[in-house]
Amino acid sequence: MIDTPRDSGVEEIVVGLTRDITRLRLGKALTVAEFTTPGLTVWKVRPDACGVPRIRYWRHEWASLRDWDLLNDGVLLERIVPEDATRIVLFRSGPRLPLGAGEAAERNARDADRAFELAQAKYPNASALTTVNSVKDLLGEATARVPLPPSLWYELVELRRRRSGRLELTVQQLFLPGARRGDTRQFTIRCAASGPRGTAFAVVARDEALNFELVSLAYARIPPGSYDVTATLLRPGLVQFDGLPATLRPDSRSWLDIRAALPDSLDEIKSAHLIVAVERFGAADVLQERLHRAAQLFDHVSAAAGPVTYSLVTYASHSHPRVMRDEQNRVIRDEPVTVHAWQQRDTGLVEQALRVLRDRDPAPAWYPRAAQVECMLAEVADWLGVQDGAAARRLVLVTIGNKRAFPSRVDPATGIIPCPRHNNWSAILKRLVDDHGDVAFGAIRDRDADIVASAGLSFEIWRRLGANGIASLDHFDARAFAVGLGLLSPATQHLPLPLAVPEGAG
Amino acid sequence: MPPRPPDSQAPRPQEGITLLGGPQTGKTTFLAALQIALLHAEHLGWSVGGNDPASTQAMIGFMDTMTRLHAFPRPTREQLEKYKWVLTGDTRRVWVWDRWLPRREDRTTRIPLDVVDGPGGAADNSKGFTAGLGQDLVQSMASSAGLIIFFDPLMEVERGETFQHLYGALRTVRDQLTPRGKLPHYVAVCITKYDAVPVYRSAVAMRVVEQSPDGQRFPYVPESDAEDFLRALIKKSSGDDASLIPKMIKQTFYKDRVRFFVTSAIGFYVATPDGVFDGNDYQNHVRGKPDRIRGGVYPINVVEPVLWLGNHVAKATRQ
Repeated sequence: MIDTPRDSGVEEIVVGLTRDITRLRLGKALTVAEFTTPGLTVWKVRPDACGVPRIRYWRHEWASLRDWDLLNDGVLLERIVPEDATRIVLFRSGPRLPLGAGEAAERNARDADRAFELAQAKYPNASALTTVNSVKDLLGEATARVPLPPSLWYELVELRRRRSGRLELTVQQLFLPGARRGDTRQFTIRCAASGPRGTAFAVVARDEALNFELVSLAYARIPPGSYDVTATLLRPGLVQFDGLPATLRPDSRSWLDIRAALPDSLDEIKSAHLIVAVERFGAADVLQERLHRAAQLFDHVSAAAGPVTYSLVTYASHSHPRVMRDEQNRVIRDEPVTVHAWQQRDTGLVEQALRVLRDRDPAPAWYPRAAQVECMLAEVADWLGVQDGAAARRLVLVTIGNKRAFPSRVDPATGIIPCPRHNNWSAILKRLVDDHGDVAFGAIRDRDADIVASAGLSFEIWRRLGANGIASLDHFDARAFAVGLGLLSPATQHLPLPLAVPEGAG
Repeated sequence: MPPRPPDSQAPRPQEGITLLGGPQTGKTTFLAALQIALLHAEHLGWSVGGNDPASTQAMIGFMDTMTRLHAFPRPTREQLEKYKWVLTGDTRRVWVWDRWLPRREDRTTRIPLDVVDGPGGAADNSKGFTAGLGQDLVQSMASSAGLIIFFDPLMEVERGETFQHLYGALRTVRDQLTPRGKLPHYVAVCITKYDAVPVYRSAVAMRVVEQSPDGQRFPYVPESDAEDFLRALIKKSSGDDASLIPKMIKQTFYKDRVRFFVTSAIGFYVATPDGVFDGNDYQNHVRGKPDRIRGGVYPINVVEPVLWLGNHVAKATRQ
């Protein structure tokens, strides 16, 4: 590190070096000759195609530059000859020689001074600077401050899935030409299952002619999901990514290895709106199971990182009299259909609502023969009607419960009283299908026997609600259930690169 | 014209009305609904009150149970419940003779309504009528001037035991009072639970339903169609003896002393107190544990049999 407090000239030196390096054109090099007591070091700083100033150096001990114990001027000047006389900087660096350092050291120091003078004489227009700091540190700082070259963009390689499912490479722009250390860029990526080799973060430099050069390649085993990432330019050629759940490590794979691991296409799900409706009355342990299954489903679907939004709704039963009183003569109302979360881009709010619901007692069941399924459907239809963009997503409605719906009118077959709002579940389901076309219905009933009963006419609503997938609390495979509803791909596909998420999409 | 009952030969019933019917046929609910029915039928000018503290308390309890708790009164168990109620009619001005001179006097019609409500099991043939509740029931029937016989179509379809619950008690009373003749009682045969979905739908299917022209426009079965409706319902019985019920009634009582009513103690559901009957949503009896009344109580044909019997019972008692 540079000892700036004790050397006021350091900042000027670094600024000057930065300026000189920045002015270098592709292929050109800045020569820095450093004369120190141990010897001569010649540095060559040359920007590569990625705009990264690459540094090479050659170290020469003074003994190797002497003939008959005298400094050989010709050999010395030959060592420091630059590509262009206008691009050389001379440094007499290192700490002052302490007293009693020894005869050899004193002789070396004298040769260093002598060589510095010879070089100044040879290149009178070159900057000749004296500093106690090492040139290595000065160059390290200066090359970090160098901005990205003009006409060079830094970008992150991502994958994009075409409508056909075919995967193609695309890029997420990170930094524009002229970007400097500390510049940041925020964006969202989606990581799919990546396999044992993890997800690779390949930063490339791109010029105006669309030539790409790999700048860096790092990887981490990142759980599937969407991530808001912040990229920070630490220095040309070095980009840091924050916001990921794992630390990136240098990737030993070559770019060809990455390309070889890319599948041709991705059986990805369409963007979907998963609505889970939970019947919130009945035995406490059964209700806990229902909530647990809902959480499992959300977990699995969100882990797969599909473009899914999440909603959570609960419903209970209607109370049959208009005014119900308890034993203390207090008026009690039934629990209405409640939307706890609607069209969330992640499951945070949904999981929070599920935690709250787990701590609550079941809703009172004033009329336990039926549940407000029809009102739940009406509520969902209403919310879908007012939400912009909802129709663009495929609707997936999963109902977790067991009771029949209230009929819209007197039902001689079941004797269940009509819904007080006269909602007709059959008509609402038809409306949902008509309005949303590609709708999937899944149902999770309490017991296996209930699934068998769903085939009966009196439970027709459950047959309809489970048209695309029906399971029970007893036997519930969240992944298989989600696959059946088109929320997950049938086979796990590994993607070695992150998936692009268009701005504003979720 | 049917033959008049030989009053001189028949033992004279004393007073009161006894309810006769199997378990869960709605006897107690019928009684409990009477006071609500009279409040709704304000235009008739009758009210009912208690004649002793226990009977008054029973009325209050019934009212609270049905209106506040939306529940059904607890069925009668283990004993005969005797309620001493009195029906009070409008005050009317009449001419009376006072010391050979006519004078106008305000007079209020009062009909004592001594009602005996027994558990449905009391009429169980298998338990006999020579002791216990069966004996109490038979004695009550023998001393009553009026009977309300309950026919519950739902229970009959489910269990088919109505005949069994009527025959033994009626046979015993008849043998005690008039071994060779008919019983002198006035009898209201009430086909109950008209509000139940299958019963109402049966009435609609038989085209015996009329709709009240005013108020909440509740549908009802006119008295003229009630007996035919009973016969139609009997055909749906799960028992083998139900068809004997009309014959037994005809054989036991004088025809002009028997009337049929299609009744509902709780009536049909309406969504609001001023709402009208909705053919799509009329179910007022909510099955559960316990059963509940969904909305308000709007009895149908509960006042009519009681007033009819009450008038005749009052006359019989005065004779």
